[in-house]
This record gives sequence, structure tokens and C-alpha cells, in this order.
Amino acid sequence: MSVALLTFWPNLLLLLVTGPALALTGAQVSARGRLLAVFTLSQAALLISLLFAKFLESVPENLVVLATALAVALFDRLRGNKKEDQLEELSMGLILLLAAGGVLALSPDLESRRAAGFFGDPSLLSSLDCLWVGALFLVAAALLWFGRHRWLRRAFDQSLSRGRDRASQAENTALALILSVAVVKLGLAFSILTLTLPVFFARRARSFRAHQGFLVLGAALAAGGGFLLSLSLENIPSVYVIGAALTALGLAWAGFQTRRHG
Amino acid sequence: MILETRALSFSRGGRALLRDLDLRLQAGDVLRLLGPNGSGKTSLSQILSGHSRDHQGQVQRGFQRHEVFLLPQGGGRDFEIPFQLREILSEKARRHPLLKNVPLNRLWNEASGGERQKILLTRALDEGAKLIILDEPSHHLDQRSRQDLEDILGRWNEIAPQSVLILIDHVLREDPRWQSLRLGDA
Repeated sequence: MSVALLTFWPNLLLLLVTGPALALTGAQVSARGRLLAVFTLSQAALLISLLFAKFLESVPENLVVLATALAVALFDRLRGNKKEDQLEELSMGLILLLAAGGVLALSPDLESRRAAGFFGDPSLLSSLDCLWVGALFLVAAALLWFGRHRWLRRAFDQSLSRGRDRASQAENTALALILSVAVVKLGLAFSILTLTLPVFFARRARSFRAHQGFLVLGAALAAGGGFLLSLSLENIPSVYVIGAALTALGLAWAGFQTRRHG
Repeated sequence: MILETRALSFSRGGRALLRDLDLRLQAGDVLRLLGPNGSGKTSLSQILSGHSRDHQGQVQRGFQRHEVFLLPQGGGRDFEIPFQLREILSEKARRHPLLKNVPLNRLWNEASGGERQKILLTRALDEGAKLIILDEPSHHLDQRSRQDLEDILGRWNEIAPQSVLILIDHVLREDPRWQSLRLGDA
């Protein structure tokens, strides 16, 4: 096996796993009407973890990132226990973000790492990072796939009664955790594209089965195919090629659904 | 016995909305709550279902929290995921007689208010509801769906012999088998 193949395999496998995991996460989050709130919390996690990473230089960065993501997810859960108003949840997320941003502004040397976090490219992760992030998202994808019916039916019930129970709070916490790690490790651009585009196009589905099938296959194909294509397009970051692949695939699928069902 | 109250009273905003209500509801019963906006219909349904404890007097409930189902106005709102009606129901619920004329391959977002209500009602019964609260069920329903609903509620003790129904509604035709409670004059 050539050296080139050995170096891109971990990234390809990572993208094949994270694409579907994030697309399934996007569907769960949008069904709960909390996309914005959880996104805000995820960004706060990114900023805070970068800040902690500065002060705790002796601790591995990955550990800090995970611990912060967990803390933000727990914060989300604690808030969920007390108040159900999503606007309040969002405002708390914004306050957290502003506070973290304020501290960050006073630490200019963090700016380059913050930029890497927001506009980072998952195809540039090291093999070790690919391994642990890929394993984490494989678990997330399995969790979301096997629990898809139960989780979304619960979201459906919540959307009708506007109430939240313990099980749905635990699910929200898991989703916040997945999003936090995604934004921190894979970059905001990739996370936004993979979370939102498949869900947007999957709305054309005429059944839940088709909807979930498109999310998994479409996201895996676009992420993997986009990455492979980007290898031959040296000047374009793979995250943007993946975004274009997601759009093209989504448009083709939505067109097919329209022709088939009218 | 599913619900029993003794000397139940409550007030909201310093105003007494209900005084000394003695009520007994058995499985298969329908209680209709009437009264103008702000008269305490929703508050009373929350107290009876156990979602609010802001009251005086005794309430005995023969059900647990997960056996209470609140069905939203007009069959509820749209949902982000394209669920077909069959995909929201269990195998057993799909064969329920209430759904005889409902096309189950229709998407939730494309179903009428009446169809949605039947689906939600069937789900509640399938999941062992002991108390079902229907809040303004005739809201946004056309004439035919309203008649359908009246027919279902008129046969409540046949359709749901294990459940009590609390009906908050002014529009549906009165049925002599229902108990009615008018709020607004405590």
C-alpha cells in the first residue's frame, strides 16, 4: 500500500462516519426545534475549551475539549430541569458565548487556534485524532440510528405537548455533547454544512424510512466523495468540496422525489 | 374509580375560580368543562391530571402521570420529520376501528385536523391512557370532521372503556351521558 493511501484512509473513514452521524444529529436537533440553542452552546464550548487549553497546557488538549463539552452538555441539562422556555435557554447560551468571547478578546494569542476551530478542516486531522474522533462518532451514529424511531417519536410527542421528560432531556444532553465535539474537533464550517444540508433536502422524503435513508447514505456519499474529489483539487479546502457535494446530491435526490411523487 | 375530588377549590390571581367541587369519574366517563376564557378550565384540567398542585381540597387519582394524555387543539402542529401516519402508530394501533377511514400512508403534515385527532386519540388509547384531555378539539375542524368527532365522543364508553375523557369545548353537540361543569361563577 502506498504512503499516500495510508495517509488519506484515516481521514476518509472519519468522514464516512461523521457525515451520517452529524446528519442524523441535525435531524434530531431540528425536530426538537433547538438547533440554534444547541449550536450556540457548542460554539461556547469551543471558545471555553480553547481558553482552558491555554491555562492547562500540561493537560492534553483533547481531554480539555471533551471535559468542556461535557460541562456544557450538563449545563444544558441542568437548565432543562429548571425551565422549559427555549428563549431563556438561548439567551443563557448567548451570555455564555459572550463571556467566553470577552475573555478570548483579552487573550490575542488564542486567536489563531480559535480560527482553526471555526474554519478547520476535518480532512487535516492527524491519524490519531481521526481514530478517537471517528470512534466517538461511530458510537454516536449507532446510537442515533438504532434509537431513531424512539427518539424522533418522543420529539414528536414533545412538539405536540410542549413538555419535556427525563428521557428527552438525556437525549438533548447527548445531542449537545455530539455537537460540541463536532464543532471543536471538525470545525464549525463542516459541522454546519453536514448538520443542516442533508436535513434540508431530506424534507422532500415521503416517508420516515426514506428520510433517514437519505440522511445516512447521502451524507456518507457526499462527505467521502467530496473528500476524494478534493484530493485532486489542491487549492480548494475539502470542507467546501464536501459542501458542494452535499448540495449537488441533495438537489438530485429532491428532484427525483418530486418527479416520483409530484 | 379514576378520579375523585372532595371540596376542591382553587383561585388564580386572587380570584376564586372554583369552590368545593365534589366529583367522581369512572372509566368510560366524559367530563365537559365549559366557561369563558380565564374561567379556569385549563387550570382545573391541570389539577385533575396532577400537573398542578395549586389547590385546596382532596383529589384522588387512579392513574399515574404517564397515563395522562393531553391532545392539542385542532390535532396539533406540523412536524419537521416526514412521518407517515402509520409510522407514528404501533402495529396494533393501526388496526383500531377509529382509523377505518384514515389513509395511513398520508404524511402527518398533510393530514387534516380530524385525521390527526383520530391518530393521537388512537395512540393514547393504545398506550394505555387512563385520562385523556381534549383541549378545544373542534378548533379548525370542518363540519364533517366535527361530526365524526361528535360521533366518537358520543360512544366514548364503548371506544375507551378504560379511560376518562376531559373535554374542554363549547362547540360540540351536548350529549346527555356526559357530565358538564360550568366554570366562571365560583
